[in-house]
Amino acid sequence: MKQQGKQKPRKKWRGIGLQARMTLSYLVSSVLGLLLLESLFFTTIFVFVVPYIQSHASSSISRATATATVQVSSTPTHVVEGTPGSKQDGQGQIPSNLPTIPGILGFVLLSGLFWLVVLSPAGALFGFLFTRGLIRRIRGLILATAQFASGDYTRRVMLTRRDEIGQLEQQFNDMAEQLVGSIQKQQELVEYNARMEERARIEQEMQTARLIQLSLLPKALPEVAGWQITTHYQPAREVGGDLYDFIPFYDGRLGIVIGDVTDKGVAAAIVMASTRSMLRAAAQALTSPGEVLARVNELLYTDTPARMFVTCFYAILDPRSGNLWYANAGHDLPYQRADGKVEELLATGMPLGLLPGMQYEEREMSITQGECLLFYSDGLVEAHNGQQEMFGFPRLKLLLTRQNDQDTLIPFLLDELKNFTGSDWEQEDDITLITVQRMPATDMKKPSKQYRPEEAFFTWSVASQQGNEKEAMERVGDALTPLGLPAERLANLKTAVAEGVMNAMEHGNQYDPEKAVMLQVYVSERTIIVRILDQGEGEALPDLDTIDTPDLTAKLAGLQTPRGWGLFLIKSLVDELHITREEKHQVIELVMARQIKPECE
Amino acid sequence: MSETKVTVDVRQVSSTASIIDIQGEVSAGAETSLMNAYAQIGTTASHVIILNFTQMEYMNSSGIGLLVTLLIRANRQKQHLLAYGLSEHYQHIFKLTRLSDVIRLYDTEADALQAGQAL
Repeated sequence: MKQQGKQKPRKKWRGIGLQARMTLSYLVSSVLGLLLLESLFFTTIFVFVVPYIQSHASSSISRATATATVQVSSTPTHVVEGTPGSKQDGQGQIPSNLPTIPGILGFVLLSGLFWLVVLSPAGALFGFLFTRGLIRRIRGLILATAQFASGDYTRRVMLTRRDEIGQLEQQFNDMAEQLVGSIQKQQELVEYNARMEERARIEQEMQTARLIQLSLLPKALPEVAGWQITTHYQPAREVGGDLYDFIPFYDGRLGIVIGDVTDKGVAAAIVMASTRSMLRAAAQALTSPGEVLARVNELLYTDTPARMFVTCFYAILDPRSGNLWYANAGHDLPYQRADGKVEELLATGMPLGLLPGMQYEEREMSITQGECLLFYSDGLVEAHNGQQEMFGFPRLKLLLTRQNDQDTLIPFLLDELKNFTGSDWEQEDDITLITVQRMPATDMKKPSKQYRPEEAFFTWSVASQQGNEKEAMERVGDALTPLGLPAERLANLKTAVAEGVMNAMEHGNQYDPEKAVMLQVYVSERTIIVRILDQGEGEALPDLDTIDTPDLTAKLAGLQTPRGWGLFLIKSLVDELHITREEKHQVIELVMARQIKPECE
Repeated sequence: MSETKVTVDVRQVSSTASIIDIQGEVSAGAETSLMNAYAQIGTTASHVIILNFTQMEYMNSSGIGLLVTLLIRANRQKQHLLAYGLSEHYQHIFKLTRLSDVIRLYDTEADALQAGQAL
């Protein structure tokens, strides 16, 4: 079975085929008509003419001349001539001019043949002419269909007559319109889907980048005794690459990192992840901030593309002394605020990952009680308002001098930012804010809560006699052992308890054996608090601010008493020390966290 | 005043080094014993004095004060003070107070003696 080839133009063959068939059918019908006629004539002769002749032949020969004219209904009319051999001589014999039957037959046949020859071409011609228009219209449809199928969707056929072919033509046009319409719709759908997919892919990429970034940012704020640290992180719509981190060291110091990766999207998020890991590793291995930045710079330089770099400010805070040791790789300078004065932490260096072999200058400064630091990323200072003005460093510095409540500093800055940019501001870059404040000493003097001894975990009291501090220490230690404090921390607490009790006995109670030193231990989920109470009639305990590290050198030189270690030791061994005054007692309050504060993840 | 349980002994291990073995509590009540021990050494020619803390059970800030006093005296006589056998907890205390800068700490008697010979 031959395939109807879509593109094979056999239409011509078909066209002629149809035409030929139709022509032929006309021809055949005319021939058949002729045949019909012939047979009618034939029949008529036999039925009527021959008996008539025979009857006349027997009766009267004189009336011999018989011309039979037979009219045939349809053209052509043909006349049967007198049969050959017939003589109009009026003789009474069997008229030789009477037609014989074979003669008649022969005549019929010959005349039939004649007319066949005349009719066939006429019939064919007629048929051809009549069907030509029809075939042309059909050919038109065939051509149009083929062209449409091969992609010319503009093809239509001209409408001719309102007959069946005309209907077909109309329907062809209608179908063409519909097809074109549906092809267009499909096209639009495909394009729409493609757009949606692209959008989804981009959204997915941004989600991934954001996920990476969020998972690397600290999940909890570090808790450092005597300090308050707050942060605010506000990512832009397109992930911008801000980074901040807190690195706790075993000796109690805290590393503070703030940084910003150039570029946006997944690439920035990945570089941020690398940088964070490198910083953490380097911080544990190397002591100085400058070295840490130098090491990370080398690593990033080899790993990142030429145009990508990371600005970073790295500081190590010693919470006990308030010292801050820092270095900077191109990041915005943090501010220190003290007594309404605002200073920049001035250290400079090239951003990380830009050039190899960089050195980073280090600076040290000291934070006293009541002072605070602000670290920030440039999403804040580079924010633009409707008039294309930038928020800027001068504005930030001014705002810092004006505001003086540490607790509300970040909300205050965010509020000012909102006022500056207006409400329908599209955030351009990530915004990161970190504040680090050393709590004012006055805070430490306020008793943070009311203690009720009946709710204490453990209580004890000892007479104020030398050596009793040891017993107090052991008792408290035994009571606390089940709580699972790490051994070293428990030992530290015990020593602190002993020193506290000694202090209370010696200074608070003047070693009066009649006066007891009371101990109360309160345990919560997060802390252990040991309160050591004297009888309140002796020396006042010194201000915590004045408890400095005793100067060994001075002591060795005889410039200071060899003693005076007690309060310093206590302060160094516990997480928090509070000295308060109650109605009848002075209280030394020791606070130990039960869990060492994060691994801020 | 409850008895301070402390025992202090002196061993002269060489012509130049002596060891003070301390047992028990180094607190205010140990002053007498400790100072007597030092006085004993003072009569010899030892310029290296090694404190043996392996048997020390407890030390408080008064004890630290005592050690500082001891140091002052030793410095005057140009004597070196070394120590060994301190538990980790008290090593930490020594570090906090910077005592470890001036009284070098060692793990064993042998180490201390060896270091002492170099002085």
